[in-house]
Amino acid sequence: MKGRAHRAGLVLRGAADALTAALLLALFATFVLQIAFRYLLNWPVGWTVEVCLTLWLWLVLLGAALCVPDREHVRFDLLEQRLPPRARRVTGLLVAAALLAGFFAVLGPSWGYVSFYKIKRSATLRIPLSWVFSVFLLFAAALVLRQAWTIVRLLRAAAEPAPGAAEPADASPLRR
Amino acid sequence: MSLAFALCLLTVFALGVLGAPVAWALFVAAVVYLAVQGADLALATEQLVQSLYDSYVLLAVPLFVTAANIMNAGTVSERLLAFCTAAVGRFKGGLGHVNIVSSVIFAGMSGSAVADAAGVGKLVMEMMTKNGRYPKGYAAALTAASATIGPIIPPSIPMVMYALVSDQSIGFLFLGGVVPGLLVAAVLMVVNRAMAARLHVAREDPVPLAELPRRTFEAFPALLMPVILLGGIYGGATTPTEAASIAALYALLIAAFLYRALSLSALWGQFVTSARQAATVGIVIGCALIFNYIVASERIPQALSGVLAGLAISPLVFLLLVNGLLLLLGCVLDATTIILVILPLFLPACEALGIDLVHFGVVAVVNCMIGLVTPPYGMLLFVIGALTGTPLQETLRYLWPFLLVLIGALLVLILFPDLTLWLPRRFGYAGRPRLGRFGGAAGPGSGPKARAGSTVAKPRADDQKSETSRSGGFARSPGAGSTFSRPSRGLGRGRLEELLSGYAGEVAAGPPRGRLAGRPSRPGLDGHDLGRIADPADLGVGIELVGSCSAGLELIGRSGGADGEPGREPGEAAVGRRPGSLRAGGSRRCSRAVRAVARPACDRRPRGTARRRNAPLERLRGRRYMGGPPRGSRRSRRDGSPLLPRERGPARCRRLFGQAYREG
Repeated sequence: MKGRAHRAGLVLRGAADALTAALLLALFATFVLQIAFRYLLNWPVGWTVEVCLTLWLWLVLLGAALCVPDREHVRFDLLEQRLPPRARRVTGLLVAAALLAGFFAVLGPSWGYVSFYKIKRSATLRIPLSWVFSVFLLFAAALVLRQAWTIVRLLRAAAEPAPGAAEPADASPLRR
Repeated sequence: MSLAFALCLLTVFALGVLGAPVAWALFVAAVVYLAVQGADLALATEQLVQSLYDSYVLLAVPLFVTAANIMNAGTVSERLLAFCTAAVGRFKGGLGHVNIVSSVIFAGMSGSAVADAAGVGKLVMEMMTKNGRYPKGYAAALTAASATIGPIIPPSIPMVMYALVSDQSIGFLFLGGVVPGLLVAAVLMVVNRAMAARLHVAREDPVPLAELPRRTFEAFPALLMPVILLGGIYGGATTPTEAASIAALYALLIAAFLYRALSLSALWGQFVTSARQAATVGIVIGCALIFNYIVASERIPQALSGVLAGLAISPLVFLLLVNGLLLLLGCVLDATTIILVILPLFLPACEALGIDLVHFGVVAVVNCMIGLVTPPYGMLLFVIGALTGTPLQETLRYLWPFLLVLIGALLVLILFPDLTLWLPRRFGYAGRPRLGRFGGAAGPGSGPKARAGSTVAKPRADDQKSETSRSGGFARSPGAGSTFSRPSRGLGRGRLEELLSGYAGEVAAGPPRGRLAGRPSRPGLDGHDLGRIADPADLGVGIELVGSCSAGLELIGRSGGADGEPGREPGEAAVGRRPGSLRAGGSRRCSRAVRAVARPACDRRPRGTARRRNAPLERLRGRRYMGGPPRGSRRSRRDGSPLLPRERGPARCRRLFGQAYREG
């Protein structure tokens, strides 16, 4: 059972990685296109800027929420690492709970914010901005799930005291 | 400081210390702030989304990251190293010098210290420790110290971030980093030489000189990279952001086709890694900018500036104090956080004291890079430790002399602004007048030489209507803050370029309505797109100032011809002065303000662009827009509609620019 969950996690993770890498590739290609159009074809195009900015927004939010493992995020972990495993679990729980609450709290208002933008379209491609910004909802939702998962994981680890392996092999779909 | 802000700070610190990712800590703290204020929580969302969606300059970040990763994967670093070994490996402390020189060259291609350390730094470290030639700790310490050069010499991701918050020209910031970077390299080489003598390091077998041409030839395409990059930026062919994509493309081409070192799957792997790294950096930037917004709406920078003004502190003392503080903060904070959150606090004070913001930025970036190697929190130390398995203690034993000379170099840079500003001035940077007791150039005229100087001075002399002089300090004269200087009439292309040549900003083509063609005309005009305006009539709609103007001046692109409005000469444009208070909030607002100015002048805002972008105009005109903590109804905040009446066209322009347009 656990093995299957683990595999599913890996697949999900791979998909998320592939998605963000594709976004980056598209961003890169669009930039090259922009320069090529301007210099080689002498036909400057304006839509590239918008595409790039949209891709960048999606890349950052999706990448940060889905792909970057917690330990790769920029953080100050000197103190945390000095703590004994037990205390570390407690601080981990506290942090995860705080983040969960924070991101959960913005979900509703963000929905309002994003859906409000359906009346506006982007400058050149005329896409409703609500689509462009909708990635924030994915971002916040993914983070809520992720923090919830962390809490579950930490609680489970606390419940089964295994002196040998302090932390069980990470089976989270969102962490490697 | 309000209760909300105190709670917000508390949240950041609590979460940060407990090990939450910095970005999440900042975001949740912003949510706490808004909740306590009773404001709409979606404001945090808005700030995050809009700051990422609005800032064109930030696109350089993922591209530079990609470029560096491709270079590291594609044996570009190896070839570079082979070249450096042949060139400087023969001297005493040879491999140490190789380490530094290769860092310098790699710095000219990549914008990140971590990429430098992880790529060429790791390789040279392996060479240094092979057969125990150098103590492992020494090699690690030297690699860490030399990796700091990466973001000092252009291109540089931290400088892009600084440009974002300070509203300075990326081009000039990059140029400002060249001499400091070489200075840092020089002092490191001196220490390396001395340490090599003390450690009795065996001299390398020199690579026979006959080898040098072959190795140079092999490394030549890689060595060409900085030339292409910087040539592109300063020759006016690309914006710094586009240069980043060219760097990535070039690295890709030479790695894949010339060196044949990159398989398709390896390339894909690099993209996956780069995407993740870019997201890591991007989310910190985004969340830091939310925090920025809060700090700005609490008016902390202004308060700080006021306090400093009360103390009657001299610019030099101010710089020393700030840098001391930054060094301390660098021990515990990440460089990105310092640049995006802490530096904006000091910018108004810098302006008030007459400190050149390019100088300040370069010094601050150097400072933050030193912060990358100061324990306990030194990103470079961690990266190198993790990559090579060197215990931190061992590295620290050898790190102190390097740290000392790095701080010494920083001090030199603080004391002699001309070291930093010399190169930008050669390219036409006018800088700010010296108001304080600094050594170095006094007055705006002495900076730019020859041609650049005359082009900057000329419009002033011509433009009888321009009331405020360039050195007059737009921020400080009360009342002048909300007015634009009057437009010069019948501004043709040449004149426009002339005006703008001194005030380089990054200009990009917006939705192209006009024809953009031709060649850039003037080096140093990093808003090179202006050079490509074949017909001034194109100015109206197509041009949007994306970045910033260094001198606080912006183009109010306006062309009668294109819009077909009668009674206006084609290409008429106005150069306006922006009130200094705008800078306080951080650049996002500034850059929006620039757009705001650019857009109404176009008469027709493209349908669907957010009206709220115009809101900073209210600020320009001395009213408050989102000035305090956000209030008002949802709707009003989101689209800013109640803030501006909805007239359009000439009437709107007339109202916005008042005098300027009536006279025009």
